[in-house]
Amino acid sequence: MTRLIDMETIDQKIALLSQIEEKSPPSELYDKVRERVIYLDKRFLMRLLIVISLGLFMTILTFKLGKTGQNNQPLETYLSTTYNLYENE
Amino acid sequence: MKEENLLISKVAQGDKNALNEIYTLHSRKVYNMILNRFNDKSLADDIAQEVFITVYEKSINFRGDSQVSTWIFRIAINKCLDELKRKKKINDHILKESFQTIEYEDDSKSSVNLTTILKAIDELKQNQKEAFTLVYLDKIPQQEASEILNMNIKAFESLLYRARLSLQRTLSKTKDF
Repeated sequence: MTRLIDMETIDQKIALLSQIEEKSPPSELYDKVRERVIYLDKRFLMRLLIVISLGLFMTILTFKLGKTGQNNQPLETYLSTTYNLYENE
Repeated sequence: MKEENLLISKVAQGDKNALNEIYTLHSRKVYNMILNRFNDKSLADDIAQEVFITVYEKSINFRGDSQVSTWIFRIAINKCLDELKRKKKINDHILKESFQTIEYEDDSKSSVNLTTILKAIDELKQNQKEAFTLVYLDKIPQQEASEILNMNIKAFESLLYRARLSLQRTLSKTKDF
């Protein structure tokens, strides 16, 4: 059976871990973080722009369709006349 | 501490200078925490970047329940665990690779001892290894380390004690001691 080393010796050995030197992160690391943060901001703004544009488009479309309904004009007729969908026929 | 909370709220508003200050305060510790677990500088670069990107993205969710440093170190630990899972090397901790590159004092005997200790740490159970590494390699106070691991201090102390006992058993079998 193995004889256990006393805890005091173990603690002395554990203290050796303080010899491990701390290293500094590379100086360009923050630049990389900054670039990625700027990219994330741009991506967020692009998405916001797309959502706002889509929302605006849908609002206008709904508003116009509402008007169409008031004239009792069928949707297909409205779209075909407004956007000239059947131009080539 | 209050100042750091203020910095985090500025980061949440998109202030890059505040992010720079947070980075300056904590990057060295975070970088060394990652190196202590992987000993791969390029991987440490990547994970450290991820940590500070997450700090930027999640800063809006920071409620101030813990210290900013605790919150950041917890993010770092989670990123390290994610990386370990990704590599499926949870049982093959990278600490053992760090022996060659760690700079020792100019004393061959202590160098051998240090290598032996690191090997013994590597053989600890995952949760014991994490607790031990936080306290003795990352040099984080026990109270903060327990918060990082979401444990109460008593449970953490008990875990650390079991880690030291395991280390005692492992090192007792080693010829170098």
